[in-house]
Amino acid sequence: MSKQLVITSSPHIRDKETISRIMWWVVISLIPAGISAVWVFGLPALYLIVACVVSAVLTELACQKVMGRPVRIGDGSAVITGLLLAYNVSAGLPLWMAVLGSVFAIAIGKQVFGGLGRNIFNPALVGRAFLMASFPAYMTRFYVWKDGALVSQATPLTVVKMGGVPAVTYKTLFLGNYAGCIGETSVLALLIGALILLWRGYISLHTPLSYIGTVALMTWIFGGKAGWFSGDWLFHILSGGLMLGAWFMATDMVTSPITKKGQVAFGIGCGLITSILRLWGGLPEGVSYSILIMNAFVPYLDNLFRPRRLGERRRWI
Amino acid sequence: MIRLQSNKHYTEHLPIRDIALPKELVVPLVQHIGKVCDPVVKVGDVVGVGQLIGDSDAFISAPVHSPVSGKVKAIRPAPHPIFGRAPAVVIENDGEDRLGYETRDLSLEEALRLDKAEIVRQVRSAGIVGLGGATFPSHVKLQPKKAVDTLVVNAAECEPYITSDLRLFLEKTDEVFAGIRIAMYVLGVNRAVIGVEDHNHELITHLRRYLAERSIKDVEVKVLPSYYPQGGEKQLIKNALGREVPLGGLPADVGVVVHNVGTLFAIYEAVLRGKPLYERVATVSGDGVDEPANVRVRVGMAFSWILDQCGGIKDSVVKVILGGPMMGFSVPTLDVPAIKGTGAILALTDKSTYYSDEWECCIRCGRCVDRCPMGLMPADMSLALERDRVDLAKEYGLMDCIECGVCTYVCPAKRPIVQWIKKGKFLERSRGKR
Repeated sequence: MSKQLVITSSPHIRDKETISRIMWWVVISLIPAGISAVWVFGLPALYLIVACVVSAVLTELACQKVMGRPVRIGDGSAVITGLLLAYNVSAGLPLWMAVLGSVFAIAIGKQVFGGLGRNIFNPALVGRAFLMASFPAYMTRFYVWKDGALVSQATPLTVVKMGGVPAVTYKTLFLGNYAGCIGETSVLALLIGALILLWRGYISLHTPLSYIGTVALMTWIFGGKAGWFSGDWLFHILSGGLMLGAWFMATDMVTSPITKKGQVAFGIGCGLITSILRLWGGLPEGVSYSILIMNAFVPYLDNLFRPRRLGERRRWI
Repeated sequence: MIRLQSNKHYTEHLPIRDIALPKELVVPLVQHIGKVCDPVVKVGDVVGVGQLIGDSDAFISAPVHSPVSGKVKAIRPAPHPIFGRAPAVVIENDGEDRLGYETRDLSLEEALRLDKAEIVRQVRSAGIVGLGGATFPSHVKLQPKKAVDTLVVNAAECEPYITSDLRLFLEKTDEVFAGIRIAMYVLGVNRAVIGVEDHNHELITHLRRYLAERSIKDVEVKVLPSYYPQGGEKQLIKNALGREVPLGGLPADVGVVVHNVGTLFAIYEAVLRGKPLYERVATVSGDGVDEPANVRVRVGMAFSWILDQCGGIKDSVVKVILGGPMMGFSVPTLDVPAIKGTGAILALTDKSTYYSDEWECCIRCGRCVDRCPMGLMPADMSLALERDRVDLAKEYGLMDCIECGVCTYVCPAKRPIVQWIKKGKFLERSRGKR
């Protein structure tokens, strides 16, 4: 008998990279911020993280079962959504609200669109927006962990919005021991995670640098009380959700532009909206809305900034 | 552009060797891009080595010659490594290796005094096609419609495993250079650039010494980074000369013609020795082959025969590929014959090849977009083609795709992007015909 051979289309070799490997590395890169969250906000932060992750994964499982799709909860993507949602809420948020947000993030933010890869908006931010609309009081009251209890405290950006002067040093902002969403406060922890993603090649500097750079520029020009070019740009880039948003959510592969030029435009757009919301908007912070708004522009940006083909004569870009 | 594990260590130091001839050879009447040949022999005819057995009067076609001496046993459809089945001439080898063509012994100087049209005619009648794998008839590429100024010699050999051009260039340097001279003469160019990947230290040193010792000034060696697909025609022209072939255009549009090392050697053999193209060098390699080798194969030899001459294949082999692992064709059976475009035969076990038919949704990671050597958007093309939206895929560059496979190689969702693209291009082309 002649030998049985497999026939397939070329190529006959593949890179080792897989979706689940990418996703689990993103999970790993989010761990430093999680550790920081528990350090700054105590056990309530840990409960929130566990509640969000578990409910995200279970929601994903339920959706895939009900919708008759292959069950792929092992790919780690729901874990990321759960983590990011938890990092985007206050330590004082009741657990059942966090769970509700997580369910909404996965079911409405992701699975309704067709699951991983097909959603237009960042699922975790969809969940956060849902919670902001549903429970604004709980979402905007922030705490720190002192002597085994949560103590209410205004975030530095809220202090600024109220016209005051925040009593935090740059060092505090960098290390993260102040009131805010649990995963956003420690710039140090977030940068460690970002380095992991850069090293793995899962993100590039295009989106984060253009995003953070735009916020720095905008807040420097327009953010000061002593006229133009007097703003405290360093305070602005170190505080709020900018680092978490710029490194981990604006870089979400599914919901950001696929081309490098598109990513720069996306980052600049996020930076402009964030700055406008922070400086002139009604809320102290604008990172999550700016990313959600820019998510809607992604197909347009991809089209506008498609790469130049080899041999193509072109054109302005 | 990506870096691939080259796997050339199996064969890069092994001299080209001859292998025994089988009792029966099956010579397909189509071994090239273009019109299928009609047989010019009948069953029962006695033929000699290199005797014409199939020809066509179409411009884009190339005649086929007998690889052995013997008797025509049948003319019938037979397994073909690329087309599945195709008409072929089955020849029973009488083992005498009696020549069926007129040999010549011209010096290069004599050859360079021949009429250019005569050389083109000889290249055509010798059945020479692009031996890099594309098998486009070479006589067509020797008479471009536009004036050209540079010949680019494709010695990039960017596919993993393959070392046939490397060994040929090392062992037959004078002959390949004679082929370069003839091509330069016919094309009327006074500059040739040899594109070599930088991992080929031995070849680069050898060629530089060769050029220096002979004070050759009009041929230069251009060392290129070892990126796949460095040997893609448009990529090679861009990286060796800095010229970009316009979209939908030909190399001649930027004054260039590209020929592969093996093709130039075949041109030398045809013009100086009168020898038609019925054999070539092929790399037999892969982790499923017992004795990887660079061998001289004759067209019509069954893959099974050739592999047996290299120690046979292991039981664990799952795929046998004609060509490289990135663009080659996996064959359904070892009964298929070697053809002119057979630069490599790879036998791979499941440790070194991929064949799952499962894939996931695109997560828009952008790896394919960043690496596409044509600057296309494979991710968007794959999403469109998954739904048979050829119209949309065209906007993302479907018809400019060179099918190198980079997008599919890097895809973490394991999407068969190139497969869809090939299908999409086929649908688009057949739509145009109807």
